[in-house]
Amino acid sequence: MSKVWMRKSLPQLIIVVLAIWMIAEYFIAVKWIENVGSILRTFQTSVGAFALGLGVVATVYQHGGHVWRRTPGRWFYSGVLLTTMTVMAVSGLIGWLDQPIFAYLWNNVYIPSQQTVYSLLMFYITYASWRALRISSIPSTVFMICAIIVMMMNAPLLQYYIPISTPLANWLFNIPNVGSSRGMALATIGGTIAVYLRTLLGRELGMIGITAGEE
Amino acid sequence: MIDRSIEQMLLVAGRYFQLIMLIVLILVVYVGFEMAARKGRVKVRLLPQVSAIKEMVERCAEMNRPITFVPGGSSVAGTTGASIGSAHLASLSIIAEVAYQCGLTGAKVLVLAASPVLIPLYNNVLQAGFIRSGHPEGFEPNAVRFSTPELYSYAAWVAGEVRRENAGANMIVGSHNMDAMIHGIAGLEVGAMQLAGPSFAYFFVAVADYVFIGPDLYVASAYLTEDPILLGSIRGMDLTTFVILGMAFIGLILATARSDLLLKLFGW
Repeated sequence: MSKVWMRKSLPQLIIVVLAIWMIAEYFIAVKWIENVGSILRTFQTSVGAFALGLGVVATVYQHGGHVWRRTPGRWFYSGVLLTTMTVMAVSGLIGWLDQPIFAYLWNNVYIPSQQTVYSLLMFYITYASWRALRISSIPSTVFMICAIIVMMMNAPLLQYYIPISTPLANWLFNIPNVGSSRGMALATIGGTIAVYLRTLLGRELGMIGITAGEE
Repeated sequence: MIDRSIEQMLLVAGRYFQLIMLIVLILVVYVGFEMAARKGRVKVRLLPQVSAIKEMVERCAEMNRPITFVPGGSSVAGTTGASIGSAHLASLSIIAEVAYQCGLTGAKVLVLAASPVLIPLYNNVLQAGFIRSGHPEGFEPNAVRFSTPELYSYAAWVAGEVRRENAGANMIVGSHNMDAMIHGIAGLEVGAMQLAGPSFAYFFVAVADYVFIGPDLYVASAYLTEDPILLGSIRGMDLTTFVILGMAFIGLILATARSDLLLKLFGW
């Protein structure tokens, strides 16, 4: 088989067949089509799990390199990453979720770290709001007024003294906000369908790592 | 009677209208392809976001700072088999363009992957971009980095990479979740020029220099390929929007007349 067939035509054929199959499974109520669809989804999960091995290799290669070369400002963090990855993997493999070391690290290191990063969003949103809420033009003034009304709704004291803020903020949420976001979503649907159709017709080959100029 | 039983056997009840709409929309986009194929090259206005790519890469080359590309794709559940959505797919064209410009200018690009499945894909796209620029030696095999598919761990890692590498440009293009905000602020803190979107566009307008809003990314993706048929798909996208707007208008009239015909049709 030629190189072009293996590199381009075969992956393209697989994509087209699988895509049509998954669309058919959604619309057609035939048992064996549903069964094959279910097997394909399980297959996707399995391939993903195997790909994690690739991720581990890439991570060890990249961070191991930093530790080996003592890259300034990086090797220490890379060392911590490799150590924690090894401890979690080994303890998890030995006793699964009940293993004391794994459970301790999961509950006392992993979960709090995730929550810490999540809570940082509050500062980031405030920072972004501070940048966005500057009166420099008519649209930004409208934006500012709307933001103040919505903030008023969320402040109990202002809600008590200015009761109109709640229905006004609800109106902003339910009418202009929903209307404009749905308008944007509708415009995006066209783009989504176009990208998938381009893929099905073999014009968009980014999914198999081929882009413009390479074809 | 026979027809009815075949229909019940073959099609899932309640999805007839969805199937009809899917076929109609695919035909509409296909008509756009065909029109482009017959008329030749479709004229498309150059989006500022597309011209910004060259500007950002040149800035990085002059400042000797790298470009970080954050395609996203991590999920809250941290699945290892991350699926590739339409925005993510379209972002591959942007990565290819960045690689091409980096090949021409000698700038360095880093792709911060959220899924191990996508590492070979990004490598292929980057390599192709450098080859197209005539400088295949510019491609670095470790330009694609991966740390974790977990959403907030990924966000923290990307923020760290952007700071440690002192990125001159930060491109947050693809499919993102709440992590988008952390990526955006990290770029802002190191003074990087930022191109972002289309998810969380309402946040990015506050922190990024250029933002892909709505279907902009799909248009940019088709524009960069310079393929007349793909450019025709932009016309198809516009026609699709008109079809949907037409339906919305019909729905508006029916709802005003207190008719639930369209709602019944959706459930058919």
